[in-house]
Amino acid sequence: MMFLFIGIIVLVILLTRRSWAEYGVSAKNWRTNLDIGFKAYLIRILPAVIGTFGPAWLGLNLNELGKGVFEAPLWIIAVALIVWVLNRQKEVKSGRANLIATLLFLIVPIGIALAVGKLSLVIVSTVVWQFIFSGFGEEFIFRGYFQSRLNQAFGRPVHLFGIQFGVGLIIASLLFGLLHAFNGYDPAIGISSLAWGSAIGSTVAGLFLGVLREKTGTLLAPCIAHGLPDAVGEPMKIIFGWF
Amino acid sequence: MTAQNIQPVAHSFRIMQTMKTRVLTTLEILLVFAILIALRVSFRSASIVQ
Repeated sequence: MMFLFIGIIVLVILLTRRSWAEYGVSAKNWRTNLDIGFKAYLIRILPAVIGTFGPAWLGLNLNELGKGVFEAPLWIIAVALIVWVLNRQKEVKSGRANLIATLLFLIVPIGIALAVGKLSLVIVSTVVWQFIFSGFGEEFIFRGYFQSRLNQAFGRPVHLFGIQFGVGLIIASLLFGLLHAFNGYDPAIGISSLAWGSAIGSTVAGLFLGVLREKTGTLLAPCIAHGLPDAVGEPMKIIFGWF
Repeated sequence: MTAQNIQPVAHSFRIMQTMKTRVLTTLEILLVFAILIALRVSFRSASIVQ
C-alpha cells in the first residue's frame, strides 16, 4: 500500500515537473543531516521506551487513549530536546562514523534474533520494511509532500526557538496523527473504532519529525529519526513477543 | 486608467491569486490524504496489509 502511495506522489511530482529539492529529496549537507538524524534517534528512544514500558513499570493499566495521553508529554520533551540540539549543531565534515553506526543499529535485531535462535525471513523483512517504507516512505509523504506543499502555499512566517515554520508543520503533524488513528481500523472484522491514543502520540511525534525537516531543509534527518527506531524496535517486539 | 488606480487593482489581483493557490493546495492535500486513508482501509480489509 505504502509502495503504491509513494508511487502516486512520485508521479504527481514528475508530471507537474516540480523540483525534488522543494520536497526535501536532496543530499545537500548529508553528513550534518545524518548526524542530526542520529541524534534525533537517540532522543526518540526516550518517548519510545518510556511510552511503551512506562505504564507497566508504574503499574498503570492504561487503555489505548490513556497510553497516548501518557506518551504525548514525553514527545513534547523530545521536541524541546531536539530544538536545543538543532540550535547547537555544528557542521559535520565526515559522515563515515554515522553511516557505520546506522548500519550497526540495523544489524542489531538480526544479530539478537540469531543469538536467541529466532532468526527468520520475517525478522529480516521487518527490519528492511520498517526502515525503508515506514521510515523513508512515511517521511516522504508527510514531511516531504504534505508539509512542503503547504509551506509553498502558506509560507513559513513564524520564527520560534530558532525554527522557521508555518501552518505546514502543524497540519502535516495533525494528518500524521490522524493516519495513525486508523491503526487497527478494520470494519470487515468488526473494528470500527479509531485509535485516538495512537493519534495523540503520533501528532506530537509528527511535530518532532517536522521540526527536523524545517531546520535541516531535507528529509534525511527525519527519515533516520523515524526509520531507525522502527527498524530496531519492531523486530525486537517479534523476537521477544512484546505486545 | 491612471497609475493611481492600477496599483490597488494589481494588489487585489495578487491577493486573489494567493487565496486561489491556498484554496487549491488545501483541496489537493485533503484529496491526497483521503486517497491515502481509503487505500489503507481497503487494503487492510482485503488483508493485504496488517
